[in-house]
Amino acid sequence: MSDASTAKSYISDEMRAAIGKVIGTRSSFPISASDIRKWAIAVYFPESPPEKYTGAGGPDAPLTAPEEFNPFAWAAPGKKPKKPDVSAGFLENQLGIKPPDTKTILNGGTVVEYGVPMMEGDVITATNRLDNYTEKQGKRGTLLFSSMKDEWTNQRGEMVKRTTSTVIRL
Amino acid sequence: MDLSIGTELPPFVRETGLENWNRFAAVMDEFVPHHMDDEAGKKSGMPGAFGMGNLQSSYMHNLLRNWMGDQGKITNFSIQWQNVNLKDTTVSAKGRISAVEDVEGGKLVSLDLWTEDNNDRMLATGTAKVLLAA
Repeated sequence: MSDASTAKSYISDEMRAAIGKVIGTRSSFPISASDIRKWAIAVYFPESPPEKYTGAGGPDAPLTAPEEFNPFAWAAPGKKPKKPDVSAGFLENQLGIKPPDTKTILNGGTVVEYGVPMMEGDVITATNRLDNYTEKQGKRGTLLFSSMKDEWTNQRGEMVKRTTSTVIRL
Repeated sequence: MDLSIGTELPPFVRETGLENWNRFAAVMDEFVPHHMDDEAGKKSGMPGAFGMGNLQSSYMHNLLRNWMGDQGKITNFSIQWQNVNLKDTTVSAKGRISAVEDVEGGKLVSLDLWTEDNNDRMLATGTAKVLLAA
């Protein structure tokens, strides 16, 4: 364990100033019944998913999406195909600031609060913010914890879900 | 439904491999070589191709949905990934009731969740809260 007063810090003034800033916003196309059916078939494979995910759908009986359904996975308005940034500096690259000098990135987990369900026909808007930077001392030196909060709402402004994702860098 | 503390949910079990992962890649647009190709998996330090972390999350959600039925609503969920899902292993998503609280509209059930493979490797751990309507 390093002495906290002499331990290396990855958090620059520029990074500290970016806390709370919006990383990006995006809106989905209307969720289709076919999207919901395919998602459910994939995650329940090889068994059939519950009927509520595979029914006829339509305006009179719109399908409900599984809670973890992702309406942004494929096409979204304005989304252009590109290689995902999987570098250790992916977060700061999106914010347009200098990334910390870290080499390794680990997934620190995800915490979700669910609101109203996603339904066929819904348009989901997401706002992703830099929530915080914190540090801890570990056996391999300073660990940088970076959390992002992604809030999804539907076309009526109702909260669909809030996701806090954390990455650990060293 | 038995809501005693410590009660385990009926597990959600899947044989895992490319058939599951390719379907999930198709709905998530997650065509990453180490999920599809043994040589790419080896380059990532694994014995071969390995599954997506988000599919472990879906298996935990399936576990909850199968247990709670249409009277339940998942209000909170968390997951931390521990180990990768190796090819041709059996993955079981499991859960155990840790607390039950009377709230407006029903009972709020807290659960500990995890996925493990048939080699006793813990793949992911998590928690959830489920509101069961009165």
